[in-house]
Amino acid sequence: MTVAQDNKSQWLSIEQKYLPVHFQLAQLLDLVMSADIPQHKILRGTGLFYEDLVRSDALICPKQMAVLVANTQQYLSHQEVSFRWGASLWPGYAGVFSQSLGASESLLAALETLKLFRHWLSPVVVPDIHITDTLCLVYWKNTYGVDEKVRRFFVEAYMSALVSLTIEHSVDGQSHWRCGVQHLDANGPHRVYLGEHVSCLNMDVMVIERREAEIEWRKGSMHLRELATQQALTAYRHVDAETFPEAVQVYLSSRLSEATSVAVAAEAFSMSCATLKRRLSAYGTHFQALLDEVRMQHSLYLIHVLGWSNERIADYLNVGDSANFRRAFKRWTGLSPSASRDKYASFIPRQIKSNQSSHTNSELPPSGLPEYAL
Amino acid sequence: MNSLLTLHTRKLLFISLLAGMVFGASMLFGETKVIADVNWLDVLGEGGSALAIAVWLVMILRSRPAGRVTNLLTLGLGFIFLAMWQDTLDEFFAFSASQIWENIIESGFFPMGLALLTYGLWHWHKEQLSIRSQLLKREQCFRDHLWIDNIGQVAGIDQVRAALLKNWHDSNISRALVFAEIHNFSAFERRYGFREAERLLRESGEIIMLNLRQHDLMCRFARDRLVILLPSTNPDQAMLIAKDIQSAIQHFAFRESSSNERIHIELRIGVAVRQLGDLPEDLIEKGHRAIESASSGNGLSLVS
Repeated sequence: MTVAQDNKSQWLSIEQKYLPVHFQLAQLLDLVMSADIPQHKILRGTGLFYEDLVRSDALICPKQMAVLVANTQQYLSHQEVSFRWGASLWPGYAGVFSQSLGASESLLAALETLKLFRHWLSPVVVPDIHITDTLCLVYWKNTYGVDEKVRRFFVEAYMSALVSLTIEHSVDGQSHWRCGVQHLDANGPHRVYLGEHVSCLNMDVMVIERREAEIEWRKGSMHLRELATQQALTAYRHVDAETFPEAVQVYLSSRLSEATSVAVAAEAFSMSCATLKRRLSAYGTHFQALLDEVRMQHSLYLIHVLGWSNERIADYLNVGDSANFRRAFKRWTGLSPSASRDKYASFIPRQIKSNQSSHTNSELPPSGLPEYAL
Repeated sequence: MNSLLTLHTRKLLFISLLAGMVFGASMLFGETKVIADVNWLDVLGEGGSALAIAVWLVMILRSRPAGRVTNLLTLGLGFIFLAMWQDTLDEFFAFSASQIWENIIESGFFPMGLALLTYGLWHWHKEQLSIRSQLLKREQCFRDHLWIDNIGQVAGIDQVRAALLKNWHDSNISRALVFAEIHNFSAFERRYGFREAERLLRESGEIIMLNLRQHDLMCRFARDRLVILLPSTNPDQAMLIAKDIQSAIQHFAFRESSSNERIHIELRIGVAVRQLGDLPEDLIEKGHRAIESASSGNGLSLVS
């Protein structure tokens, strides 16, 4: 069985110039200029000139964005720059994408838009959004394997962007997001920009209860959002909206209980093992890493949200007995399942846990983690 | 002014000691001239120069903090002074040609001193240029301190923590932390841009500062979250100060630069009061909780 569409031989790559230059850079350059840093310093090594920035048809690639951010970090080393940039980022100036995001009638709708247009609204570190019956989860993924420092900048910016967007549009002016970050400085700006529920976890993830996300937003309009979404889909139809590792992970998520290998996956994508490996290495990743990540995400969800036992997860993920699962889980997350339960105790909304604990033994399928849209 | 001089007493003592040693050596190794042989015009000229240089040295040391530039200027003037001093002394003592040390001091110290003085003056010149540019951009400095300089920011909250730790064990001394935020600062930043937001923060900060007492300490935590430490302040006094700050900001007429639009500013304030058994960290955490509940409530909250 093949999952790759016949007409799809190309995936989005780090060097593909598809992003209109003003989308994200407008605010970043404003920020840099407000600190009196000459633009040419920030543009160094990007292959861009000031003239490009004011041209509406100039396109850039994720790699150029990463270089720009690295330059920004060099000349504006202040810890808060990422958060400030993020706080002003959305809905922003990304044309129809921003219109679609800005017209969202609820956070849930905004998340759907963000999921659909993740590569335009949130390039380089792309969100992996899952909406389940009870929760909305946003994992921030280093899609192109950029440098750790740059990755962190984008994560901080986009997290701050999502929180700010929520505060700006919600009726009560509050963000109910819970943010887990890998690097948390108690005296740093996290608490101010991301709200009071920030914890230090082994991944960068945001979670909110679905019923919170369903509350209607101010200034939302379903018709405007759908119109903008249709326009965006038409205007950017020629751009691939998925990277190869994303496609592989979607494939892997749908076959969690089956035995998987590079060969099986390669066959599903109608390519040789060597091609699959080569394609993945172009994104700075490999098959096992993607498989581990998918399994980790699912097991975290099964442990912390659905409250499954180790045995049951081991069985479900087809990783042998519970001892095997504990070992594997420790390898993925650096924590044993029980340590992880403690660590995530304050992260998952209490409401969810108490709701779920009543049917811990029920046969809830983990269909909660849906596939990618598009 | 005199207090600056105390920074340099060692330098002055050392130079005086050297001058004394030179005098002693001249007494020891030179032959005292008869009064009739003394050229009084030379004594006046050379002695006067030595005295003038000594006066310069004291004047410079009285007006300068300790540091490299000061050390260079002291060394330079010190050598010149010693050369002039020896020059004066040889009007009273005759030296044989074998007394090389006398020659070295008299002829060698002078150019050496000039070289050091020149080098010191060059640094002084650079120092002046940078001070001047700082004065020109006073506003810039303040902003740098608030936003750009990460050391400034971290030192800020660290400073508050250090001040909290002082006499922390003495639970009789009451302490309060006031956390303040500008209402809807993020929306303001999005609408008017980063520069205007920085200006708003800077100017609000100055107004808050005017309403604080001499011993209160203010720093910025992040974004617009300001932290004010009120030492020896009971909860009632802290609430009073908080309300004063709030009303001062309420009357602040902030005008947006391009449109001259008057923007109404409101301050959200959370007050945290120390309880027995609290650690400094707990007090700071209470402050965060207080400001968070103030932001979602009526704008002023107290957590004790």
